[in-house]
Amino acid sequence: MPLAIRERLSFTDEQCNTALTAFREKYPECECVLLNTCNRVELYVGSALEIELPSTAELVEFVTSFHHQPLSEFEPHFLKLDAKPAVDHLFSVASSIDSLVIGETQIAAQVHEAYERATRGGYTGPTMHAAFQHANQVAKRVTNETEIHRRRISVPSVAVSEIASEFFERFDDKQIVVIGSGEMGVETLQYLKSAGATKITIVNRSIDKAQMVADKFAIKAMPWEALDWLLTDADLVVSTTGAAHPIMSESRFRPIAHHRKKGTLLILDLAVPRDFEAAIGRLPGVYLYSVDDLEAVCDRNRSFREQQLPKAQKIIREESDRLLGDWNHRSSGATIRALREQAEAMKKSELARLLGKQSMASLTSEMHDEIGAAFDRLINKMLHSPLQSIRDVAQSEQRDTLVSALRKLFQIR
Amino acid sequence: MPNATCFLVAYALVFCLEMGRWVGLSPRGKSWLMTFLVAMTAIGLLTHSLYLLDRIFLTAASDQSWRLAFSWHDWGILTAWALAIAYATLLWRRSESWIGLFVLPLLLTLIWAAISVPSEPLNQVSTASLWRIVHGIAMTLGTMLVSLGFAMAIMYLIQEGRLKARRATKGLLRLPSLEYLQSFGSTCLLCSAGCIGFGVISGVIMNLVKDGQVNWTDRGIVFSGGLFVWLAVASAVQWYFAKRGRGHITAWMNILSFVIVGIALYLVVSAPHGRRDIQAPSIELPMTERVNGGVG
Repeated sequence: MPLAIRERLSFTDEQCNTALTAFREKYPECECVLLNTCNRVELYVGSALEIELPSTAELVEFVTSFHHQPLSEFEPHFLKLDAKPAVDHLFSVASSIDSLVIGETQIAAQVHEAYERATRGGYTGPTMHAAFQHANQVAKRVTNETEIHRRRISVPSVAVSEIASEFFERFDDKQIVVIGSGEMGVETLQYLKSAGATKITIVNRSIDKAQMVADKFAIKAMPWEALDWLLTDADLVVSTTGAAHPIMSESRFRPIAHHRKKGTLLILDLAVPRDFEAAIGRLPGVYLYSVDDLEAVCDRNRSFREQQLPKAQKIIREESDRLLGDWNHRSSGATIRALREQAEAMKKSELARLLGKQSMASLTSEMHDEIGAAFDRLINKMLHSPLQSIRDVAQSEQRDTLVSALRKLFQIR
Repeated sequence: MPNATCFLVAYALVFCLEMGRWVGLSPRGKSWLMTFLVAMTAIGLLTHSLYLLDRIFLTAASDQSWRLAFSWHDWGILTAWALAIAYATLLWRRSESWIGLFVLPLLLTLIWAAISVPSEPLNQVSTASLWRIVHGIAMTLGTMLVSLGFAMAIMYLIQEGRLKARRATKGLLRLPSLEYLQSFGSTCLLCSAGCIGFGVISGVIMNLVKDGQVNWTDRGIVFSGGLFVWLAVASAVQWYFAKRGRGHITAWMNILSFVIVGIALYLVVSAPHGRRDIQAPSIELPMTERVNGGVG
């Protein structure tokens, strides 16, 4: 999905909560998790109840109307995945093999955060619990069993170690301004510090939050109002705010550029929506990179990790099969239980009838037990194949057909 | 003893190997390529050095006297040697960058030009031989630095262009950082101005020592002086703008300097500059020297 579309559909933290509440009001029987990162907006919907889930069109309409955007313009950009493909996708996202930078660790935390937010608000249930908790386990397994994270590169690290290093030979003498003290800002600071940067100033709308981060990294914190002044002397700017609109327009930046004491200014705009207007990048001496611009660099990094992809995908397939198997087993559990109870009742009835006969009166208790065990084995052998078939079937449609047939054949209500 | 074709071919092979970096190789393949690259550079430098030594000392020794038989050819070969040393140093220090793609064509052109010009000594005996050597080496270094600055400028403009266009960088053509290219280019320009300036001054001193006067209308002196003035102005301009981060000004100053040096060299080489002593009366010394490249 292009950045121009994504930024119009992305959710701030506050909007996420509002959207989840609105979704619950509209679809009270559905569970929902909203995952919003710099590279994706994903709505996971499910239910443990036997209800009809909202259609794709309804979900697209929900998202677009929430942002007051025209439906027709955005509809082609949505991707709908059901059942196994959806689970595979979630596991791929959580394992970071579907990320802009394969193997980045940030996405696993973002998936977990999205799930936690939905759980705190009471928007999750058995389906989402199972899916997201399993996704967390899959991510751990992929980390442990493959080398996909060996070259650990997140979006901020690509920005610092790949892009900024094309401009600067060293960072210790550069004036660096980090805008935003959120998770992305903090991660960026870590990479900047390890690259040797010392002259870093953090700016945030909340000076208290900026000061907390500044204390942690031994850097300076400045109030939001000082931003323009800081930009006049900066070599590198990393912007990571969660603002819904650009914080720096071209008209605001022009006087700053005029008063700048240095020539080259690299702006790494890692925010979605963008913090700096694209036109700023056309000014002389200004190099503006957005999240999308990192893609080319990420492609190269991805190729380093591609060798590990088949192994990771195999793990994901195994785990999604296991999860779906568990779900199938759970959903067909009632039928299986009823079938076993019916068989048990028939066994007891037949056993009682047999042992009640006059000719059986001389049998010892050991012989009674032997006959009972023989009946048990017979039932188990008869039920083994149909029950195994239900467990093995992965596709929900097939499973439902089999369960329905079983109920009809054995007249289970 | 090797001839100039030996190291010309060796450097041409190094250039081909540098071009081979474009091909997507496995890590093992890259390692082998780098090994060949280093080995071929070493062979080129060795044969180049032996050739120079042969020209400077062994030929002179065969004449049974201490004579430095320097011609335009020798000065060209010496300049190329200095450039080859600079390339080898850059290969060692920044092997991940493909600097050779930009330096080696200059090196090959310089050797080819040196082979093309006559190799007869320019001068016979002169009391100003020491100043001639100083003058020649300063001009050689200046020319080498301007060439190196030109390579840095081209790399800078390519790097700046694609960074401005936000295209993928290191994967396609690995170049040093903008800061490095600007700083190196700026240093080359400043040092070349210094070297050429020193070369001009030493040439003037050489003339004063030899003749007691300077022929200011000599084409060599006019162009050398003009070149120095240009390089001094270019250095000042780029220094002013470099402080404000205008790296492309430095790059363009380097490119213009290279063009001007090229023209000046052509005009100086085509002039009777440095050849006057052939007709001039000489003073016999126990150890005579033949050097060339003097301003006068």
